[in-house]
Amino acid sequence: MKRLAAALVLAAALPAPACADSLGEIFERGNAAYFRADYEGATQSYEELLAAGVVDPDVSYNLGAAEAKRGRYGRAVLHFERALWLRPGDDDARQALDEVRAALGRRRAAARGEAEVDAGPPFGEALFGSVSPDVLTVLALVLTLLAFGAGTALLFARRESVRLGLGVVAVVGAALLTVTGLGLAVRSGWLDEGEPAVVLRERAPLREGPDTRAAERGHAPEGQRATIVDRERDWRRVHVPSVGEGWMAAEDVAPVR
Amino acid sequence: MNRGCVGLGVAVVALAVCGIAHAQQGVSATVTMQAQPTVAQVGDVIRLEVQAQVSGSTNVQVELPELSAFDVMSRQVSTPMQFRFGFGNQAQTIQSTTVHRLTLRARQPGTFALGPATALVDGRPFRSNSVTIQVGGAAAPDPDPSAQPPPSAADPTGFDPTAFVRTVVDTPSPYVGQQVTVTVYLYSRQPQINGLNVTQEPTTEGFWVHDLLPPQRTLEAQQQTVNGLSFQVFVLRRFAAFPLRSGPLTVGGTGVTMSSSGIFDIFAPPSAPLSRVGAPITVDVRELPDANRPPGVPHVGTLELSATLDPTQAATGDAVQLTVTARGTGMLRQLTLPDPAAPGLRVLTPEVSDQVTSPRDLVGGARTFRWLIVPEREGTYTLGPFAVPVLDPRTGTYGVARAEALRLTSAGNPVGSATPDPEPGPSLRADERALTLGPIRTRSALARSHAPLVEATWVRWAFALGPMTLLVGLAVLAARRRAQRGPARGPRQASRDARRRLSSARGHADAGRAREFYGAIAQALKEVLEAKLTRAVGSLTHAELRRSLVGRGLAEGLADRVVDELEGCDFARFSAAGVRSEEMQQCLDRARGLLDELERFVPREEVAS
Repeated sequence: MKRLAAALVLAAALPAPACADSLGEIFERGNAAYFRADYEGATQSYEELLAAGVVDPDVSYNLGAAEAKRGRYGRAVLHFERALWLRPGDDDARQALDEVRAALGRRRAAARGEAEVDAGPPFGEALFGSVSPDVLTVLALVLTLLAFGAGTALLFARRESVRLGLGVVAVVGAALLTVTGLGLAVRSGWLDEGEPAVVLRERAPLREGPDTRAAERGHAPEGQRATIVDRERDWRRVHVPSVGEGWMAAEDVAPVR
Repeated sequence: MNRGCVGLGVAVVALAVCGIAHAQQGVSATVTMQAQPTVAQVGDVIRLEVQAQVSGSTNVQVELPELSAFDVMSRQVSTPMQFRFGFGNQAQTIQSTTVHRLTLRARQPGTFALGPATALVDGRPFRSNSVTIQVGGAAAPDPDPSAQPPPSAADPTGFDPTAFVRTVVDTPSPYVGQQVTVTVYLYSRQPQINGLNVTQEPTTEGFWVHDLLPPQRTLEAQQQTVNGLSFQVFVLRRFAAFPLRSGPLTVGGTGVTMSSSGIFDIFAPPSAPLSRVGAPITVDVRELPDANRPPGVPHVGTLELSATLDPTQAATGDAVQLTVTARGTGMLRQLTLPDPAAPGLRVLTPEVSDQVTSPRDLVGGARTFRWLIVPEREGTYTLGPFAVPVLDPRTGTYGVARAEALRLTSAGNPVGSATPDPEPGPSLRADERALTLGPIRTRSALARSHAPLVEATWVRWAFALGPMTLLVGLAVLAARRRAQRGPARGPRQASRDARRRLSSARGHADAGRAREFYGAIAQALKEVLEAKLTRAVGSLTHAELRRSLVGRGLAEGLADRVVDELEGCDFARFSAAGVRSEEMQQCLDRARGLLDELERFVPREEVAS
């Protein structure tokens, strides 16, 4: 009894913990900072949400916009790509991504007189990019049941017309299932060699090994798509199209998913 | 004698009671009360009707409910009667209806339960329903418009001992914009006024005027003594006049014509109509005081301002609505507010609406301004604050009615006629100047996880459902076919068994066991035939067997050789000539050849005979 009383007294004496802002408040704080052109403050708030485990296309979009306003186009590309992955068919995010890439090109052109900007997604992503993986999953499920169901019914059908119809359904269903399965594999990254990523720094060095003393193989442009194939401590082994494969500092490249 | 008187008295009383009871049994009444409207604002007119339908009596007295919460503007009573005559033995029935119509004015807010009204019919009460009236709005201050001092003998209002018109103002020296309540009275000593017409309306030049009396009303007279004479006083006109400029302003005289009659007029020709014109009255309008006068055009009266903005965040190019409402008393219809303005905002012409009320003869209400505002550039804008100087005419002091500022934030690309940003500072790069992004999202579900559906366990099991269904179907089909085939083995199994039997037959041949040898040969051939034909062949004669084989598609030559071999085996089993090993060897070779040919045989479907 005395212990209980002591515990109660102690609990009452302890200062009440400060109530952390809710996720909604952090989001609104970020928006308010953006509206008053405090893009750095807005970025901090949005990143606070990411650190809290929020995986939301709207937060990613806003973070991309804030980074773009700060001139950090590589990060802006990363967040817009992430917004598109979370919500395929987001026209605003697609448009913003194009805008940022164009701005990257203008910057590069102003600095070097010419520029080449990675403007298009891979073929598979271009084909299936507007459909979410979940939609493809449901579609594949339905086609699987349809094709196999038609095939099973075909075993027991007796009338020729019914067998013909079921055969057509089974074949067409199987064909569509193949296409859908391919799309699902593309959208889920099963066919990727590694993790899709974006280079965050202009002329980020690609090295022979995971060490600053390793020789440089080349430089990757900011905003360039890349693929992370391996990880070692603070280094990432990446494949950058038109540059090659090598090791890049983890701070210079970030995965989209 | 005394007993007889007492008995007679008792009989009379009893007869009277019976008569009364009998009479009352024939009396019925229905009393109803209704009000229109039952929901009103302070100052609104309400019409109340009490109707008593009585059958069997004309002695009706209607008692109205308590109406102290309302001003009784007029009262009208009508009593149409119906007679029904009975024929023969039927008694005469009398029906009467009494209707009381009152015009009320709501004096104060609240919920008022009226009734029930009571109709006393031959002393019996009949009650009506109750009526509840809800009155909203704010209670107005309480001037008593009916209290007027009697004019003195020197009053220059045209006193006439027969009848005269008098105009009265409640404020002889108002401020510009201050309400002056003007009332026009008719004083008459005519016995009964049959017709009353206002032939000349009072002029009100220099005033903004608002009528305070309902357009349809019944004139009610009040008694008043003037210069020792008793007059009936009628209110002809009452209106609020707001002077629009300073200096002397005149309310013109009102002209009226009335005709009247007395009780003895049936013996005399009708008298000529009587005309009277009231004297004009002048008010001395004062300028607003200068002491402590705030900037702007002051409103005279009372005022409260409220402002709302909907929504407070919008994308560039999307309109938002700013609403400012001014409530109070005075000449609100003259109130103006400046349009909100800010660089980057497009402000449309406001829509203004007025709601005028006059509770207790004090004009006021609400005036609402609605602006549509379109932000054309990204940014945060401050609208307001809104302030209007107010003069309290009773004290002559100023105040300020205020509504706090509102904040509008917008995001997005510049639209419309938005002026471009000012010259960019040296820190802005060319690419930044050209970068245009859509507005950021102001709403988000703030989702915490994004586990793809394809990774869910149940989805994987669902994908397996299709192939599993097919496998089950195949298994069912195989089982069904096996069941149809019966205990017979498959052709391949039978062929293998036959080969083994031939091998064992060779052993019999080597051992010289002819009977067993030929038995094995025949058995081997029969097993293969049974497997092919999917039927037992042991019960068939050789001719039937041949026909069956040919009928199932076996070549006739092969069928003949098979049958011949079976016949030969049957004969040789019991024949001593078959004991020679050469013969058994030849038989074995022939059987092997037949088996090879039979294995390649694919029988046709058996045709039902």
